Amino acid sequence: MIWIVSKATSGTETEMEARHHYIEEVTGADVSEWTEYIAGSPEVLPEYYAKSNDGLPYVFITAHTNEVKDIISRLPKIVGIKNYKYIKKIIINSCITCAIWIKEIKSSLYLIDLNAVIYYSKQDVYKPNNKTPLLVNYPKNVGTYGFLTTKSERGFFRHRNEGIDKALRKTFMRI
Amino acid sequence: MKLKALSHYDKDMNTRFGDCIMLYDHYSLIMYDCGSERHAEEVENFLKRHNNINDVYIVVSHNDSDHTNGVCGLLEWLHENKQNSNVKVYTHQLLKYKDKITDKIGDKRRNRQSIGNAILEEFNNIKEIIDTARNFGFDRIEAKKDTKVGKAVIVGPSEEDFLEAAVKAIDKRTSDKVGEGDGSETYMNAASVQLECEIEDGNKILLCGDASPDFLPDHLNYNIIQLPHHGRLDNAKAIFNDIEKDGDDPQEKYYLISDNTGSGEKSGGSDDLVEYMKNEKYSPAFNTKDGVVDLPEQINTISSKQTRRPLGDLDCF
Repeated sequence: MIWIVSKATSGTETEMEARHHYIEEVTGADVSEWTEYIAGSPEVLPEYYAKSNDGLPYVFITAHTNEVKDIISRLPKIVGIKNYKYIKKIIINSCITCAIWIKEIKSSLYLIDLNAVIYYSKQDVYKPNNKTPLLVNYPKNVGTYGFLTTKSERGFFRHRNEGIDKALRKTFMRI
Repeated sequence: MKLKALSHYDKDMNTRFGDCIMLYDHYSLIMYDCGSERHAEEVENFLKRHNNINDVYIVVSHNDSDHTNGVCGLLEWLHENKQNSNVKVYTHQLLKYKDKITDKIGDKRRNRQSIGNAILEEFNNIKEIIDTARNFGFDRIEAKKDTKVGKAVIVGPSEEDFLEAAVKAIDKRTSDKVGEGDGSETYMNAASVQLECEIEDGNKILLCGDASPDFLPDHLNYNIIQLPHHGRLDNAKAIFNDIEKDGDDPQEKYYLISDNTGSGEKSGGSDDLVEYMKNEKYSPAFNTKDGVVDLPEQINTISSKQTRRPLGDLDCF
């Protein structure tokens, strides 16, 4: 599994260490160090990524809504041009904001010719005054994770011993 | 209202002091259980320091001595020292339900009299408390669901549930346990009187004695939940699961544990639960094993460290 965290949401170095530990506990596998470089290239990415050695062809993205499409467009670079088409599931830990956004995310997969199932983190409804309600995802300082977590991330952790797929079904939304 | 849950004393972790949880404001005190005379002394000292308090409400969750042992002593002190106070005692008065219990047991060899005697024997501590309150002229009020207790309210169990508990406790032909294996609970514990109260910061708390999770009201209504039976792991896990099944996040709630169980071999206690919550990355519960719990002060300390920021770009429109 590839775990991607945009730099805008990554928090401090200590929080990234805690997130690394979270991934180890959730997957029960060794996890590579966070990197911001594309393998074999000096190019610096606007996100960090790490790989958990669990054999699952999944990608887990934590980012602001407006960053998600860009990250998806960079998947061939991050995962490798030969490998990215084998990605089966993309888990997006972000806001949905509005229904049309899901269509845009799916279009971004289409643009890189990737046929993967998308899971989205569970959302809260935010009602701005006199405006259309938005679907938002608040990371909170809840529990002792050591970094700000969303409701879905916490649920994912609670169900980790049931296997990744079952935990995903229980704690994220398939769209 | 503020909450103060009493702890052990003088670093004595061996004695079973039992539960004593106080809810109070400038003019009233609700005491939920009082499991030892030492706790009663502490409540007395509290009332001496808070002279304005004249309404004293005592809620007895159930018959076990670690919830009742200090109540009669406190009633005596109130009688002698707070003569102008308005003292009310709330508990299940099962003798009032003698006929219903006799009908439910349906054992033709037993009549109303023998059932009455069995109630008094089985609920001996509550009988002593009611007798003491009566002798001192204090009000004794049936702890029915929806009964107001000052600024708090009794939210359970239902009459059906506590009558079931009484029947199971008295009718020796059937098991008096609810649940299975380690998670089993005596009916008497399971049907503990449950109290709801809003504390000063707006958080709503549920106090539940040794109640079984099956007997508790909807958890979603509460921001703070007392994990029952001094923090028994299986009960707590059942509550966490129920909260999640209802679509809420159990890790976003606060939990209170009243664990002054001492060191007896069968004392129980919260050690397994504390370990579980640590491994599952829950914030630690407010636990009287670590000292007196004061709410909302301890919540405010945590809240001031918390931040909240959206991941999404809310300007997408």
